[in-house]
Amino acid sequence: MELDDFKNKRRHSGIIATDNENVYKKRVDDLIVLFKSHEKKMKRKTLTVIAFLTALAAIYLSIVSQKAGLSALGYFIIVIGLFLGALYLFLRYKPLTPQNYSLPMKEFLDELEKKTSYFYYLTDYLIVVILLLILGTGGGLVFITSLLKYTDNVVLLLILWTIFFLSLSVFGFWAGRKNWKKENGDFLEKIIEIKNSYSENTKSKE
Amino acid sequence: MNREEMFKEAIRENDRRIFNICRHYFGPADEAGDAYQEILLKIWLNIMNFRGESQLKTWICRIAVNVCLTSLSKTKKNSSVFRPFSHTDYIDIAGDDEENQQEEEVKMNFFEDFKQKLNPIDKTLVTLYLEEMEYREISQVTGLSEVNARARIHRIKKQIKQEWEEKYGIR
Repeated sequence: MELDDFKNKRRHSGIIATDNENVYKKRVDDLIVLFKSHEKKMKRKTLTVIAFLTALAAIYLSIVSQKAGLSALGYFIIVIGLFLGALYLFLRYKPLTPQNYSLPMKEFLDELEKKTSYFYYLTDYLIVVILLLILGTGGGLVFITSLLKYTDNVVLLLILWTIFFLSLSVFGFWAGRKNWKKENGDFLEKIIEIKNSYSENTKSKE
Repeated sequence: MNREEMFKEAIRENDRRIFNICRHYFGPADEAGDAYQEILLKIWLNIMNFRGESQLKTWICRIAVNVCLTSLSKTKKNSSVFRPFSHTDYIDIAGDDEENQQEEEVKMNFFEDFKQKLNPIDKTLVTLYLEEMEYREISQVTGLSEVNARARIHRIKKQIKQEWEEKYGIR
């Protein structure tokens, strides 16, 4: 009993009939039509995301023009923060490209792990902290300038805003992580399991 | 050559291989068909980027293996990386002889049990080896060195022989 014994086995097809050239051609032609419509759909999707981001930026910019002083500056900073945040999310979590799939399995798994991880690089944390600082500053300016008509105590407003924004950020991180684990945790575990089986015995074999 | 022509040629030459890889990973399950279609989509989207740095066969096998791995990992209900084949997935080459058929069935069941115990990389190596790919090509698909791929397959061959002999004696 050898592994090579199983090279000679032939499996049932069930999906395609390559023996019949006409059936084959028809099938491939149908697939090409399907793929072309898929490409159109993807293009539409990307355009929708870009349109959404542009619209959001335009709305906030219109608010900026209606405000003055620190409040306007606050809204402007929020616009920048939101735009950069959306850009970061778009680039960081965009799906793997078709090119990724033609990488050797080992490199492909590395790419997959990076894409699937909640926070993979140190730069992820740095970027998020910077973005939160931008949004926090903008939001803080809007919050404080809006409430200054009720109280003159800027320090109190600053403390309130800081507590609120920090709690929101921590909750957002925690909830995001929990949700991410629910959706991608098993997937990432499987990828890591496969990656680990690469290193298994490698040292002793090479 | 335009995209359609390149795609058609690539599929004509490798259709059976892609299909076999899907079946190795998913067995007779519906997911084999889904993975097959997904692989063709990735080939279609990427075919113009194929620069001939590796053989077309190797390039397509990389895509096939990578798509199958992601499809498997995404399927939460799937507890094992590979799904077992049923013995009925194989055309019996033993002919009509009942005794031979039974022996083939025993072998198939043993092989499927054996495959289930392998880690994902070794399972992929077995899949590619059974597709009669050369070690150099297997190495290009997996990213393992040729020496390592060869050593692992050798170990698997030894292991399957040993386990068979322990269970059924020498046949």
